Amino acid sequence: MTDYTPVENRSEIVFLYDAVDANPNGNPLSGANRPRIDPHTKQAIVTDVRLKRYLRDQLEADGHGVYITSSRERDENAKQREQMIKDALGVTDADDIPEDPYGEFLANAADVRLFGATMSIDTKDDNIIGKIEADLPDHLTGPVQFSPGKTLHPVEINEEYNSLTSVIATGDDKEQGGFDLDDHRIKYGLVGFHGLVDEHAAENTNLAEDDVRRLDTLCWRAIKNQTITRSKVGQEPRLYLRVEYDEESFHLGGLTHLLDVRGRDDADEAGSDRKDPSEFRTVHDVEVDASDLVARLGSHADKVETVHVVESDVLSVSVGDATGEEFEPESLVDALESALGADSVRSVDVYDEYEATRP
Amino acid sequence: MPQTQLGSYDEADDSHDSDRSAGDRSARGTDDSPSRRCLSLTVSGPWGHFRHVDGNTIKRTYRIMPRTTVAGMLSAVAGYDRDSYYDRFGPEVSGIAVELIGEIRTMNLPENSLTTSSEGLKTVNSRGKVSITYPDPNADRQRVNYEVLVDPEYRIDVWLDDDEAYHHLKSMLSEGKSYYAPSLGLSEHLAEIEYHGEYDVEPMAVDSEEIVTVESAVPDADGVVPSPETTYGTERSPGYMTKTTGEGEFTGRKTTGFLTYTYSPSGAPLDVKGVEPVEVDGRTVVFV
Repeated sequence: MTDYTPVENRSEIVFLYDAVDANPNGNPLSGANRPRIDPHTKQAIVTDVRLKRYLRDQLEADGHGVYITSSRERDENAKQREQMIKDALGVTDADDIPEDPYGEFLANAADVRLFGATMSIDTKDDNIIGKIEADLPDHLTGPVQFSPGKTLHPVEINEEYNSLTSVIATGDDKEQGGFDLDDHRIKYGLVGFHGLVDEHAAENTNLAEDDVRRLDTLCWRAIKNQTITRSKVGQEPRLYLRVEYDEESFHLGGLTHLLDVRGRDDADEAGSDRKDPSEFRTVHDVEVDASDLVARLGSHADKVETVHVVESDVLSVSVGDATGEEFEPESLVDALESALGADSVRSVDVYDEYEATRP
Repeated sequence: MPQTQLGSYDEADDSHDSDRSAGDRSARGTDDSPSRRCLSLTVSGPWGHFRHVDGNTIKRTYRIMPRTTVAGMLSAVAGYDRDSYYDRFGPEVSGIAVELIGEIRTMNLPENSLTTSSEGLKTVNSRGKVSITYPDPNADRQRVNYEVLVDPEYRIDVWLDDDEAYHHLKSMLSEGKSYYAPSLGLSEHLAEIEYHGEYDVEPMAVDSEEIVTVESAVPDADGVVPSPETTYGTERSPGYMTKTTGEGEFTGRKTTGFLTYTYSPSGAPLDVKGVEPVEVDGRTVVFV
């Protein structure tokens, strides 16, 4: 159960998804759960907590053990988790302690291996603590960290928001009453997340090579499958890059912030004026300029082992070439291959591959 | 004695070290060693949160990266484990100057999170010999309001007495490496580090009444000369830490000294007198 291939390389993740007429992440303190917007730059914001909830829900849907489960389905999962901990550590006799109690717990909690967890283990029995102490890590900081995401451009709020009437039962013996709920959404936003897989922190949570590989399909499928509640519908993954470095302790940093967006220059449209970012309404209005990203990766090609790529065929990406001339490559994979060499780029087939890392 | 003497700091507890006279304090860093060297870097990121020691319902943040946070981040770069590095960044054996680059801005980033207060925790197997306490994921989420820094950026100069640690840090920074992923306060607030190089620390000969323009945040603020055009902020943040040990006791860390920084929220330099400024890379900063 606790045999696994530990992570060896650091990875840096760029993940883009977009939201059409949706509320990618409401602010729970705003009263009406309004979309989070930076008041200064008008960029919409999505916390790392929101992204990790999608990922955990997808892990659970795929049949993995998840420690921080959603509070939506209470009873069933509560038992699972308690059992998960009990099985591994909830023993009363030193002789009953499994060979590697902590490893067994981690093997059963896919989300803890990725994102860490908070828990404490106490024992009054020296005999037991002596046996499990060696397995207890100092802390459970997640080796995989995502910075809170922002749209790569200013967004507009949908002024004509819905005012919903929802029927809420407040207690068994009480009558149901109608409630006015404001429903605020943004018109369009292309959200950029930046993540890191820390190969050294990975030792704390037994993060396995498989777990990192799983992220390549999990992020994509989580946005596809877990954005199912009313205000979350209309979100699609658009670009996923995992830059796997081959030099220890090295990463370039800030790759997501090297991407620029602008209105797509559509030759079919009269005048071919680029749209102002606030006029973006669908992915077809947007062009992602990856020149700086590709150039930066290209200039550190000797430190890049592999770039794992998933891209949506409807996202328009442009890359400037060496002469400064801009061209629209067939795909970002092409541009990366010409910058890094074909051997260093791996196109991920999400739906072919995900089965391989299921439990 | 000028009140803004380099390295003056107030003690968090009452166990004063009587040997540490004002003379000793001013000796470290600059006076005795005419040309100490320091490492200089810029750290930035889209988000930062340096949790203020006060307050519960709103997690406030410091504006100036606390000295202990700088030490923690550099230790992450060097690969030192938690609770292992505090002595290397102690008051007599290290110097750190923090300069705010650009305007500092905050916004609220509330989160729904699981509470770790004792009433929100659940214990499994509490009657057995081993019990595990964890936040109950079935509980309703608690709304925690984080005040976060937006696009914070700091120029940091650091010297360490410990030669080995200094050279190790230098080699990591110059190769663009970091053993653990550096962050600005919270682990999810990923940071980018730009290393500028190693510079001489050149003490500036100023007398205590002379006004100098200092670019870094100024520790112990009494010497700041106010000007009507400048806005000031001051904050008292942890400066030094020590590992706590003891049998049967919670082992962790505690703050041994706080620092009071004065800074301009717009990132503008401040006119100050009575400090011991040094020149690093053509900039005037105060180490602490």
